[in-house]
Amino acid sequence: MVQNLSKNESFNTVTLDVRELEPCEPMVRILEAAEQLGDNDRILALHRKEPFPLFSILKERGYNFSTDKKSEDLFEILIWRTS
Amino acid sequence: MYRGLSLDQAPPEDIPLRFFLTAPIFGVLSGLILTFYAHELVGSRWNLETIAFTHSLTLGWLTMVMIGAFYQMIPVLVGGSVPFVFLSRYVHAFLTMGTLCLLFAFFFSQYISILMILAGVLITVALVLFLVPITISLFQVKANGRPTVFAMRFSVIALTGTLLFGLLFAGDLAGLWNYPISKTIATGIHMVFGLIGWVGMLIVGVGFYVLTMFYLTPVFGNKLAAYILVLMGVSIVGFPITVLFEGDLFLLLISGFPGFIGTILFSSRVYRILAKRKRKAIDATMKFWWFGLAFFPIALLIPWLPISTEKIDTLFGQFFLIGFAVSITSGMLYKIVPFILWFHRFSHKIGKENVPLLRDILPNKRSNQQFICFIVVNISMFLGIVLETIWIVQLSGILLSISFMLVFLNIFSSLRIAQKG
Repeated sequence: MVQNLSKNESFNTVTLDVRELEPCEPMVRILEAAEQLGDNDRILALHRKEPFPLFSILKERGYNFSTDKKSEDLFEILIWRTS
Repeated sequence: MYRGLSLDQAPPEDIPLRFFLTAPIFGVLSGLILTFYAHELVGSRWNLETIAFTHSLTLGWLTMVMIGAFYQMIPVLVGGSVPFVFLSRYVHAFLTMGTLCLLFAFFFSQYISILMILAGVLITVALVLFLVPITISLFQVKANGRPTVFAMRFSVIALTGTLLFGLLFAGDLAGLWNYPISKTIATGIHMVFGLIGWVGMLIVGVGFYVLTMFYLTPVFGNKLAAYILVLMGVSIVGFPITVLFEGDLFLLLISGFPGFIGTILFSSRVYRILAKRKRKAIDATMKFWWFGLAFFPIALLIPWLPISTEKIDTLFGQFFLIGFAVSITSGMLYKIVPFILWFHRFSHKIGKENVPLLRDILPNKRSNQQFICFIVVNISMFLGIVLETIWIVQLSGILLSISFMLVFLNIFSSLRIAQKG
């Protein structure tokens, strides 16, 4: 399901910091932003936790995503449309 | 480096909700037992009515809520999936029937043998059907750097131990066999596994994770969390061994001390991170945490106080079961229920239409009213026990029933609010 992103591909990356939002507002913000994504766009969401429920919705809606744990309270989640 | 995830969805909403709607009914029942049998309850912990009261709370409320929460927490907190999740509906049915049989057995002594056998079989089937899939899912996920997963694993192992020692009692009361060890020793081990291992460990483990998420606090800290788990683990294993080999008071103190320090570290750290939270609003769920945490270490000090055995037992029961465990599980319930309803009924609409927030589904005003009632329960119960005044204890029983009834109504009304959308 999750594809590797080629470093040579050019993407417009929107950074979305949801670390100071209460549950479930991070999910709302991220999914609303995801609805606006074009084929060459991606979202880099900064999250306090690994949002497992969000992942299942992203999968259902046909998005790809990957996560990178930077620290105990910083997870970087990259989201893009399935081509 | 980025890594991909493949996850199953959360369980259908009816699974956790059926546990959460049944638990307050047992809570109401606990209050009624306290009201009608207050004399017996403050008299001795060995009275059958007292055992009925404690099990109505521990199995009917605590275990019911915790099992329902487990099915929700595995996918949401841990990122795992529970195999054979449909079995959970049987878990709920068998646990409800088994707990009822157990309670009836204590009040209808002429049928105690058959009711105890029924209770033993039903509760065992329920817990096996719960434990096997949950244990599989907990050991399938990576626990590295995630103390919550370790705590959850520990708690399900402790539940297994609690069940085994509980069956010893059930078999004895049913006339199937005699205790292979002394009743006091077996009770001590049953209680440590059940209260500290199953209930305490799960609350601590979940606390490591959810406080940061719900209240935007600084992280708990994995290193400190690991120390706390080790300290509690040492006592949960060490104390029963000391009890089993009839160790003296000094050895009991030594084996229980690390766990006590663990609870102090946990409570003080939680107070500290809550004080530094970014979300400044104070809702009822946070008050339940504040209130409950204070009782955690204090409850463990009570058995060492120079007061009568009866008072120690009743105060410990109040402080640990109601002050600490019921308080925190109530607070958690008020967070979990709106989330479940929101997730299943509104998350698919995000980006397409406006969706309500969690606080719209379970308004804080309602949970706050129940919190106030719960405080009055604790004050009246404490006064009743200390002043040895039965009518005050009975009053606390009535209030306890009302408090649990409010929990039920609050959950039920959030279902209706979510229905309307």
